[in-house]
Amino acid sequence: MSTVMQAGKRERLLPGLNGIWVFVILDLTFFAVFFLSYLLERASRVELFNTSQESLNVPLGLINMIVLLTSSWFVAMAVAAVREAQTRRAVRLLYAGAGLGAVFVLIKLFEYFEKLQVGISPLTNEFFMFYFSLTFFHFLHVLVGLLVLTRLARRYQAGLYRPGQVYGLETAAVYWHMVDLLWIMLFPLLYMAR
Amino acid sequence: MAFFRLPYSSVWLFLVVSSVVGAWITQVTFHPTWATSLVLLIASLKVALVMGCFMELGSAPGRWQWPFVFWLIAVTALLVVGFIVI
Repeated sequence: MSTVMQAGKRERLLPGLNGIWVFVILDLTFFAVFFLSYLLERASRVELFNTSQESLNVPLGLINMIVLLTSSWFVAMAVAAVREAQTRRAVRLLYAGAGLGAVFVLIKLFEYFEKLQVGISPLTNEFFMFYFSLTFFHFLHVLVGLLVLTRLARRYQAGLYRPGQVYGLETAAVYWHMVDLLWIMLFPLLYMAR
Repeated sequence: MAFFRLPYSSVWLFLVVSSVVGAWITQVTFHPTWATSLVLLIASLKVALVMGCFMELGSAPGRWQWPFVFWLIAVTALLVVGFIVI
């Protein structure tokens, strides 16, 4: 796959808008600071964090991980399909990717509901404050990604992009992969770190 | 690096299998701290694969890759060392 593609007359070295890469670095750094705060807080209350962690649903977290990874895979293949001018295949893959994003949202909502139902909220203790704030912030990222993927799928379906036009989709894909890799770090930290 | 130019399907399979193995390790191990460190290292490898293959950083020129590689190494070190030492 060629790394240097034409976008108008400008030579491009990374997929998508350059701005999305700035956003990715800043967002990941923002989360890294959150991760460090979590580790520091955890160090001062290990027992509390370990006990609270036991109430999290590890299988659901793992299912959500696989759901997001698969969604990311579909979106990566959608980008490749558009580059090969296979628009119909790309639309199917984009809808599949967005559909799995929706599954993630439903599972996460179920998890939140499960916790709130037994009286666990962000105010319960420090662990749940981190759990709810980190996962909800990530959840908002997923919602934004879902909207973007669905809109792109509809626009490709309506023929609003010419075959092979991939710039916007690359930008959305980079964002969606970032959402995926944030969960790759969040899941072991919140659900499995002992 | 050829490692970051693997086919999407192979990368996806590796990511899924390593996720399941990582979760399994924490459930069966007798030494939680080392298990967590191992799981965090696996997670970092997964992040590298997502960045390198899915995000296609692996096919970008080296000077564009370095900020991300540096970020990844820094965060991994922060998490693993932080977890063991703090």
